Amino acid sequence: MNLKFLSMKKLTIFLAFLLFVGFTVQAQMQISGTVTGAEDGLSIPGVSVVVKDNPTIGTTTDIDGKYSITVPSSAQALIFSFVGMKAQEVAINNQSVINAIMEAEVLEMDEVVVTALGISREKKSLGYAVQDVKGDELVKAREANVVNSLSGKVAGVNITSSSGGIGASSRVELRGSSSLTGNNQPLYVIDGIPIDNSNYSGASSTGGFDTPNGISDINADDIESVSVLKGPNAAALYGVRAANGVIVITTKTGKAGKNEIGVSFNSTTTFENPLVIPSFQNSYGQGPSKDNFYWVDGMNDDGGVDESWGPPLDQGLEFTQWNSYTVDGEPLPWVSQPDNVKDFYETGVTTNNNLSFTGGTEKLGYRLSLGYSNQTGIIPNTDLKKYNVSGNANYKFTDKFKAGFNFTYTKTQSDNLPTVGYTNENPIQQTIWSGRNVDFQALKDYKNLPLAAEGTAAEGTPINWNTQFQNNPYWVLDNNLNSLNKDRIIGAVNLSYQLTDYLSISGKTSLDDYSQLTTVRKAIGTNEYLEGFYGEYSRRFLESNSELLLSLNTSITDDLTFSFNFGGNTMYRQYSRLSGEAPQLELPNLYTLANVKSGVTVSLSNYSEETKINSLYGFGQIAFKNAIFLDFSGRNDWASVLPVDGNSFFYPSVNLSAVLTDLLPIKSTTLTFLKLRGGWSKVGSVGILTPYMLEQTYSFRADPYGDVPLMYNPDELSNPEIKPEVKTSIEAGLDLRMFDNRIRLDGTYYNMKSTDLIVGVEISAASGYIYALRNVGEMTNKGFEIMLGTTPIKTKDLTVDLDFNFSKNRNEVTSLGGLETLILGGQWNVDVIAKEGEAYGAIFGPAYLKDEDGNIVHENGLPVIDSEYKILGNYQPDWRGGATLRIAYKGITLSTTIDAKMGGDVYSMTTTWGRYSGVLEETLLGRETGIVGDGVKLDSDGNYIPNDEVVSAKAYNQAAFDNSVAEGSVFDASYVKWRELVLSYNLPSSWLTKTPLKGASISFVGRNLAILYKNAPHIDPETAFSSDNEDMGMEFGQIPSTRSLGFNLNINF
Amino acid sequence: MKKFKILLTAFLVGLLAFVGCDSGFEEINKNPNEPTVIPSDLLTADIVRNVGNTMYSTFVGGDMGSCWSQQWAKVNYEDEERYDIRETMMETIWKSFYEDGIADAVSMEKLAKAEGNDISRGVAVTMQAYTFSLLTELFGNVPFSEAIKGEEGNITPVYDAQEDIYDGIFALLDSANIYLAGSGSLNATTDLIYGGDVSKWQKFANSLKFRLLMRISGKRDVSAELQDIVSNRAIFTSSADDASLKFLTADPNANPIYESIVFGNRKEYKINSVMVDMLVALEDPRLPVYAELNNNDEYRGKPSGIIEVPNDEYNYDNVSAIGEKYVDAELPGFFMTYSELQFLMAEARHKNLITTGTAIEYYNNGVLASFEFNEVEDEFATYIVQPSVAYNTTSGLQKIAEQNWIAMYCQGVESWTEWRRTGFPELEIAIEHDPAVSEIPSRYIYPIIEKSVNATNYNAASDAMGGDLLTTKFWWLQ
Repeated sequence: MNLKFLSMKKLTIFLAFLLFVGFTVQAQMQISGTVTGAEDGLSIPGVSVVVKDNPTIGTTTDIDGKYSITVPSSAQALIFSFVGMKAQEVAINNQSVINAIMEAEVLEMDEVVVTALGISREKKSLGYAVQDVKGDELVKAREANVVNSLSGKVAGVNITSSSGGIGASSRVELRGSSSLTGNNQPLYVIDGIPIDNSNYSGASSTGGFDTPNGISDINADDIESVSVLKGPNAAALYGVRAANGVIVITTKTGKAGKNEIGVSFNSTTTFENPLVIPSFQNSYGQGPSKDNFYWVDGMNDDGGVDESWGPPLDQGLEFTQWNSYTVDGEPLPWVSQPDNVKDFYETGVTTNNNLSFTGGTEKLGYRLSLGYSNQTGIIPNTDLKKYNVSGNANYKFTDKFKAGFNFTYTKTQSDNLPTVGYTNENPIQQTIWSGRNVDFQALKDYKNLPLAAEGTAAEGTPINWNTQFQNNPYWVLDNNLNSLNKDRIIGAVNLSYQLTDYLSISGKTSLDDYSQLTTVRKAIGTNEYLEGFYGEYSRRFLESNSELLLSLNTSITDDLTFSFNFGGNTMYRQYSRLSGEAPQLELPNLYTLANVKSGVTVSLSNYSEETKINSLYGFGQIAFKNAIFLDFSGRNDWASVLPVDGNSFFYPSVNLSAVLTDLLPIKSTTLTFLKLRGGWSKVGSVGILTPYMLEQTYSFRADPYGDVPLMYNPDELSNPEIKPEVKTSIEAGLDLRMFDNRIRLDGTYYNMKSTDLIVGVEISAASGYIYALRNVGEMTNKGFEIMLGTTPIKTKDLTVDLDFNFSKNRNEVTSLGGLETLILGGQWNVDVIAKEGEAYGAIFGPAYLKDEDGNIVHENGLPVIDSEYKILGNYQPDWRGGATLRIAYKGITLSTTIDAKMGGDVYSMTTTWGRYSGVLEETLLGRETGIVGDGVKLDSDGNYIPNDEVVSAKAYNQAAFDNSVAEGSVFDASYVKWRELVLSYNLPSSWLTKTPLKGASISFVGRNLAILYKNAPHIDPETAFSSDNEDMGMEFGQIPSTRSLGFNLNINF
Repeated sequence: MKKFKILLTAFLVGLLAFVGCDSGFEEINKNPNEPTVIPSDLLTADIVRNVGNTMYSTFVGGDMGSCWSQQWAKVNYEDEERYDIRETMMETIWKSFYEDGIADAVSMEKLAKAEGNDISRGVAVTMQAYTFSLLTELFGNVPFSEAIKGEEGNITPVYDAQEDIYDGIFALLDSANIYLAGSGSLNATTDLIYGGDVSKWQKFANSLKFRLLMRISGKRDVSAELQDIVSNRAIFTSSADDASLKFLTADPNANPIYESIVFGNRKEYKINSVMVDMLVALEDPRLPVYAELNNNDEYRGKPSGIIEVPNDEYNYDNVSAIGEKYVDAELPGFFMTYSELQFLMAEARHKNLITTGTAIEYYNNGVLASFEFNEVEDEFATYIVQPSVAYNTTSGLQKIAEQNWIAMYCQGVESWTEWRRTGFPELEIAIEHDPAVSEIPSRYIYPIIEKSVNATNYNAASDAMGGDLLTTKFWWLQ
């Protein structure tokens, strides 16, 4: 029996009763046994064992899952029960040993999920879609960024992992994009604490490095469950912060009343290798033409050409090459290096170790967890370490008064994170602008290589196969470092007091506080920083939330219950940044701001801001017959970033659900459960508004004029009447379970409209400003989500679960307030835009000129480029789906997930430059014979006739794939990935009886095992430069996503 | 129940006090990073730098100034030289002059007014007048009376008639002349033109008015105003008074001509054969300063508008580069020179628009000032007496204009504007010019963005001028 829920008074009676029973003389028998879990075979402590029809006779299992109970001889059966498990009834039948196997209580009607404000609710009573993932699904086949683990498992979640580089961020969108210019990612709330997900990534299409999202500071081992509040209806209680949905994470806690201590050790080691690398040609080497190749210094003559239109390889030819210095400049064999790129990548290693202690006494529950993870990347000399310490405790001072606290400290540290985008600093670039004869491995020992010749762009640095555009890649990776150091503390204290039977009050105050230091080093001689560079960027973030809540729970009649909560929250946020840059260095290998080149000034800047949001809210539920539920909520926010005269906004929601199987006589073993639900809500977002955007101020230019400060009046006209962005949503759904829960269907349709979206509208510069902030944008997202769970086989030893999820979202930008296009981002000559009538994230760029039938028009054998930009694609997918198969056979479980994203496009500059430079496989076509481009040409009468002009493969590729035309490199970004595989073996409890172990399992784990389907050549179509709006739908020199395989060991003491 | 009510009330009162709705928000929303009020003269540097940098950008004053007045020609990327312009450049110029230039000068004026600083206000007004004059002389009708009123809510300013704009500019310069004689101070450090010498700002304001009166002198009798300036106002009296932006030695604060040609390695900018031919004909000692020897040790210019260069005839090697002095990082960015004023006064005296002094005296002063700048003043005495150079009444106007054109070497915008006004030197249209443009351009076209963000006013202005083409003639060119 669970003592936790008994009042003192009842406890006294109970104890007295036990005493009485103890003195009652009755025929009795002793029964003992062990209780284990069906899933893992591990013994379960704390299981309540009571006599059927006489629940006052009972006990609980001890630390080893063992129990012993004395029952009256009249007792017929024992009932075993435990939170989260199905109660088991076992007939006694004169047995003196009764072992029970407890099954997890999966998808029962009274399943509990965590909702807004961290409130646990019966899933049955919810009027909106919530989907959760249990923590144990996150800790075996791990992702460094915990949100990636949701891919393929939760319907309606669109996750884009930016690359396979260490520290890469991931973008998460729930039900599409809702803001044109502002953040489109959900709010993360951990144990009721809103936490910051910013990463201040410097990554873009032109360089910089990506850093992990804020959420990846959370240690997966601490997570009990992740609950995804997908839409505004579920998230309405977060008011002005709810527009993008909320992901609620609940961490593991110790439970009072158990009086025991459990120790758990979880260890994973995985090995990472590139999942996709481009298909290169291996038949022609470096150089501008097939005739000859001559390497002088890597800058002049053929060696300066970082393309592979050179002489054929493996034909017995010999040419002077970059490494001819080893043979006094004599020619060397001209041979292919088919694995030169593959061999450039190293095997990444990730280890994760976590030790946790969970325990409790009658009044105290606590947990302490220590975690350490260490990643080394597939790019040489890249790494990331993470240290976690977390703990929580809750204490019952009295039955009415409870208090608790929790904290997490995370230290994230990297000596070098890889640079991405189009820059010499991204080593992948020189595999695309490349000579296919180059053996990169031979460049590795750069310390013992000669220096690049004087007068070359790489002068003073170790030799490279090309010294005009590129430095030795290994030298770059060892010298030009991007470091990250982040310390973060998240913590909260909470108190609650039960005033009366029906009234309680609780309060909580929390803190999310971190400082982050990043540094950027560029050695003297670096191609793009000839004089070197050092930058240091220090950031401090703090958010505190304090909350008070009064809760009323009462039954009006037996059939009608009523709950109402009223509370408030005050949020305070502070952010500051200090950066210093030495734009050129005096001494080599010294990275300090003082080491600035003489005559050059250190550039310093700082910034700080404060924000407050105060809120009052009320929410409640009226339940009729525990089958019809009416939920309502209202929140009023006052946000300091808004004008004082217009900073108060009200966000209501109402949801209704009806459990038809409880209301109508239709419940049967076929139709186990049927619920219909629907609701309406309105939430908000401050969009791109940051503090201080309401008033015109004067700014300093970043660089002074010599020593003269430059002050100016910024180009954006502030808007003292700006309002927050608004999102209204209706959603309706059904929840259906059939065949005794063997089939579980959950479907949701939603229709959301975002209005008052903030756009910097371009205005006539003659007004004195170039942009004016206006609430003019409108966007809609409509779609549906389906989750289908099935249990085709369920026997004593074998359970097979097969779950599917599917989601489709259709986004449309319905108004830009007269603006023709809004540029979100782009690279080279392609813009990623929002445009009226199109989905957010259209890829807009130059196309080939076509005739009426859509044939490409050629002139002199080369494709003609249309002078007008066209919409070439869109990065938003058409639909996403996932399937997870779980097979449990005795102690062996297998779980695997397939994740599909269909539709959407990506603009791959890898293809553009890889075809321009002649390194990709498809550039072999017509090398010897020339190419006749597929399409038409104009004849002398001005009619289109089939193109028949032969041009060289080089001329064709360089005309059709270039930064003047994008169409040829926009690809369908669909993919189907084999996302996850976990094969676990739980050691039988019989093996462990003589050991201190309570349970142990070993698993083979894999993530991103294969791409089963894709249409984009050479790359993983799941890619972005960062997780920001402006970096989506594009790719160049992608650090390959990785296949991760390894082992997990889990031991419980 | 009573207890409950009290409790509930207490909770609600407590909650409201705790949450506090929006108390203190005004305080928290005060920007700690950027001021709302600054000393007005702190804005001077950025205003003059933006205007100067745009005017001297090789993509503005070079491609669409020096190349059109045929001082320069290019041996590669010759589109603009053939009047095939990049329309996006128009937006850059428009934004720079209005948003970075005039808008900040208006802010400066407002701040100075609040400070009671007449001097600073005079500088602000002078810079407004100067930048508006550039805008109207490049585009024609432009927003003036309703310009820079975004903060007051007008984001679609009307385009004024050019004649009215000139009257408005004269009024600004008249007030500047008064403010600059008033009380107050000017930050010497941020004054990148005169280093805080207020008397020179006053001379600039008045000399500028003289220039602008001359610009419209073909449309209106401006003799009284011109004579008033000469008789009663402080004007440039030597090259030491030149209004010029002082550039620094290194990127990004060097002269944009250096930034582009030397720092950016855009060596396709070369001297034009019209310039070389004229200097050769006049035996002008400035030739070796204006041009470098080619690979044949000759001074060789290239005529405007040859398609598909570089070729054997005109390429990087065989056409003379622009002289070292003119691609120097610290070449001043001239807004107006004493030399130019002297040539304008010579013309005014020649035409009897003023009665003070003699035309030959002004003319000789103008040439001498140019010789001094080019450090060839020793040869002035022999040069000036050559019949082809010496001022006379019959060919005086042409000589004045041509000497001004020579003296304005590398002052792309002004040399083209003066050519548009005087028609001297006589230039041929670029050889292989854009067939859509039938003569040397007489203005820039409006930025495309105006068609969407200020369409009504754009259309009205275009109609009023008779079109929005490179060859459309605005008021004083009609």
